[in-house]
Amino acid sequence: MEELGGKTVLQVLQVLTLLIFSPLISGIIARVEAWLQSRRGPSFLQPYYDIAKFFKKDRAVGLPTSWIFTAAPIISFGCYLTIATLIPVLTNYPLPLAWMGDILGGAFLFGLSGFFLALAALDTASPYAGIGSSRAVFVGALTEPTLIFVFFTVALITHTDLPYAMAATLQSSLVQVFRPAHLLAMVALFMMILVDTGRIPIESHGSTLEFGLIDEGRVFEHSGPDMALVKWGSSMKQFLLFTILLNVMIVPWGLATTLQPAAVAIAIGSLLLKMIALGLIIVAIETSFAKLRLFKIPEFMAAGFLLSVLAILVFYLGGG
Amino acid sequence: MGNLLIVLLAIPLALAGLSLLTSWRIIRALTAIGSMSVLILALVVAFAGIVDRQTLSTLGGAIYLDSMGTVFLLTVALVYGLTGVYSIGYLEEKGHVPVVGDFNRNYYIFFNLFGWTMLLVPLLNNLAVLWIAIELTTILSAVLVALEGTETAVEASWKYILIASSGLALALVSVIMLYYAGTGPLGMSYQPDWTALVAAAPQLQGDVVKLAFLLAVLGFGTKAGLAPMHTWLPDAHSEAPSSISAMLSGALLADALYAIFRMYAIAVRSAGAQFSHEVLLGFGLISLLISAFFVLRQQNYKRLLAYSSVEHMGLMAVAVSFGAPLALYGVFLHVINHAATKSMIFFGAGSILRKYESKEMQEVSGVIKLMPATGPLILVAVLAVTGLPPFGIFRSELLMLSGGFSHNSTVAAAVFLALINLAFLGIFFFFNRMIFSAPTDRFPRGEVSRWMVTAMALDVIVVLGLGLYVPDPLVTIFNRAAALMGG
Amino acid sequence: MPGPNLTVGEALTSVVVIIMLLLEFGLLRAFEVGEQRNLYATQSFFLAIFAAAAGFLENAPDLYVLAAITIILKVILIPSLFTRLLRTQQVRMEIPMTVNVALSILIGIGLTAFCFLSMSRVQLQGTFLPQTALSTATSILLLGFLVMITRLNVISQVIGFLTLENAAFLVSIAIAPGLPVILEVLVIFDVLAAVLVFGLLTRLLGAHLGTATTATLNRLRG
Repeated sequence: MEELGGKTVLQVLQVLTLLIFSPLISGIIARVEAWLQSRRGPSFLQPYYDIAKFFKKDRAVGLPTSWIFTAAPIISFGCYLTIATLIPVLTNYPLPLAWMGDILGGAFLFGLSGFFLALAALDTASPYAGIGSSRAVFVGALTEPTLIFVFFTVALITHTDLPYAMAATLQSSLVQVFRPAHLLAMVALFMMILVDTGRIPIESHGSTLEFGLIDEGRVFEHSGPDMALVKWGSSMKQFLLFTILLNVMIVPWGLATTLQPAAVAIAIGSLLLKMIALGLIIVAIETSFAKLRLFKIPEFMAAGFLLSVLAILVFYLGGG
Repeated sequence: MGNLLIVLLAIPLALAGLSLLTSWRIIRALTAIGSMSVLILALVVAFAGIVDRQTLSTLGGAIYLDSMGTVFLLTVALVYGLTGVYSIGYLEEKGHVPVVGDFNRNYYIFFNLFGWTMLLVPLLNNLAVLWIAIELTTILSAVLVALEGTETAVEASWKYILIASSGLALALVSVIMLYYAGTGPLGMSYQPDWTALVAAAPQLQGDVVKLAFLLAVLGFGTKAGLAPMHTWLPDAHSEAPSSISAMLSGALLADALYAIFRMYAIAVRSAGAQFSHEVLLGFGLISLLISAFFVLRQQNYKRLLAYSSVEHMGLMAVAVSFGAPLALYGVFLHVINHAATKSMIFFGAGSILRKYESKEMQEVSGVIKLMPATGPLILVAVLAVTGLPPFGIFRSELLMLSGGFSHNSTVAAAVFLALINLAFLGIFFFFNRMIFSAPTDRFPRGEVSRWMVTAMALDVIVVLGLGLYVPDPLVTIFNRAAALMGG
Repeated sequence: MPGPNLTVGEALTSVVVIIMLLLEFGLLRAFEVGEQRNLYATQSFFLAIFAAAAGFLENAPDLYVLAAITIILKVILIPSLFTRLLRTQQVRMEIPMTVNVALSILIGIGLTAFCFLSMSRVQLQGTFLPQTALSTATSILLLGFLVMITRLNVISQVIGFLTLENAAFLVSIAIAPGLPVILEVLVIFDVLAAVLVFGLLTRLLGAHLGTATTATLNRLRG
């Protein structure tokens, strides 16, 4: 009973970690990037200020919209919160609600949130939102095959499709991380994460240039508390994707193995450190490469797909 | 006797070296003498050495000659010797072509080096060195194909070296696979000698050897002109100077086929005969089909002859696939016959080219009237190459067919027969028109060069001779070679 | 089905081999000949690393020599020959393609899958990384052919051909590490000679046609 209580606390703590720290990661990335470009950049806590500001503003809803438009941000936010219970954010043993869904379930939830946001964009009949929505769906569709292959690869290597168990298996021996199939899957997943979080080379993060409108375009029409939820949601999405990449694939160490508060604190700290490291890599990529033209994006996708297919081939037929 | 082989190899090298130093006129004469000496040496080695001793080896086993190799050594030596004589006439008035430097000197340097590498091929036991020698022949002959420097020549040479070398890359993989198969019985690290591999063949892993053989046919078959990898052949053989075309069609294709035969001998003893037969039959029939079809569409007589070479290579592949000792005997006889006949007809084509200055068939007419010596000789060559008696090719094709019919390969043999008749029609028709039609007034009557005629006349001795009577030493050699092939 | 057991060394060596395959895909994607030349040099470099690793793990010190010669000839010498050749060409070295990039990558993936599937049926025992290296090498082989077919620039085709040789070497180091190194070295020199002839022909082609596109090499047909 004690243990169950402890685990429940941890469960809640996971979700809270997600809520509290996700804007921080966005802020750190933005600040470091600005610094690298010899600018002073916004403060680390800028995303928090933005979210707070949006909560205080009024909501402006277009006439032709329906309930979907107002419901979408909430649904999306809820999906992200749910995903947080499924993946190993702080611990490497499954928590009570972890059995709700496996990694495919997590992918489904991501898809659900994106689906509703896209619907909401179409709902407004606004051209910019429409463009963003259609492009986002197009790009998202291209990431699907790759993501599925990546998940299959990891599942095949670890004999399970529960993210927690995946992490545990990978932690077990060093060779599992260096397996060629695993490395390929890792890089493929990283490329897809670049796509899903709207980073170079797919899109300039946070910019609203029409040429590059993908993720930003989708949420163009929201305002007020909706916008706050959407912005928060997008940084939560980034946080979750990073968590999956880091805690399941690359460095599943530093997770709490016991219920001790000290272990949990270390887990939070190590998670943040890993995220910042990943963020630095992303900053390096953002400043080194240029954005791809829209019709070159399939090439990028093809490359990611190639890596994921190779991962499967190498695993099954290539001896590793 | 082994030393004779060393001398045989040294002569072309020496000639190539001398070509760098002295004037081309001297080299022209020296090459003719040197190449004919090589031919004589080869005959001596074959008739006085191999017949008695079965194998010859020297330089610590690096140079190794057995009966199968002797057939091909004779073939290459024959073509090399006669082409050496022919070149005197062919190059007589060839001017300088600035793009590729001093044409005549370059010609002789590369001609002799090319001859040297081709002579080397049948003398090698080590399969990897065999591969290297064949790749060298590709490189050297590509330079020769491009030597005339025209746009089409360079294009042909480009296609040739690219496609042939790519094919040889596959062949390299096949040699490596075979080496891997041999690591079982022969140990981790050993020299991939053919003799060792053949001896160990029954212990080699069947699947790997099959894959290696398939790759070998794909790879070396590209060099040998088997379809569908033959696409470089019509271009290269028609754009090269005619003397080189003779070497390419007569000797180089034979060398590539030799490599396939060596791999075949191992594959048959290791993985069973059926797979190897199927592979060779497949590629052979495709070659026959494609060449028969394309022969009928030609306007350029050198390309016509090139497709005829494809046909003959396909023919030999099919004949080997019959698996009959009689057919194998016929194949080895055919190698020499085809070399002699094809070189003869290319010599004739070269003479026609020098006179009429065009490769188009419609520009050429009345050869028999305008060229009183070459005309009849070309006629003889055409009759021979299409397989009419009493010439050599008739005899060897008959033997191959008999082997096929007697060994239950009736359908394949029947298709074989039909397709060679088709090609016969094409070649005969076109050349007939060129030889017997009424001549135009544009060209004077008379031969271009007596040396070219001499070469063809010498060739006739072989073409007719082997049709009438195969000397006993050769019979022995052919039979032993057939036994070495196995299957 | 459990993943096959690997040691860390074998896993890392597999990664090297796969990087070579990825570089081959890079050739399909490359826009300019200079980029392709660099990709080839990098691929040869990784081949050398593989040779050295094989020499280390299989106790075959001859392979170190092979690795060194690979670096000298294939990473330094041959690419520099290409650089000189490119400088003599007055044309822009952008490569016309018959198939667009994404499609050619997809075709490449198909070919790779085919190779992996067929090679898995060939049972090889007791060698160094047989399955990965053999499957990858045949994939590189087929992809090299794909590059030669879809790229209409003559130098691209030569580079495609050179990657075929790389693939052959990969096979030889993987399944036949005992092959006398002298033979492999002779093969490399052979390839070098071929490259020299290619260079000569390219210069001749350039002199005639003013361009190095094989799209115009269509005079001889039929």
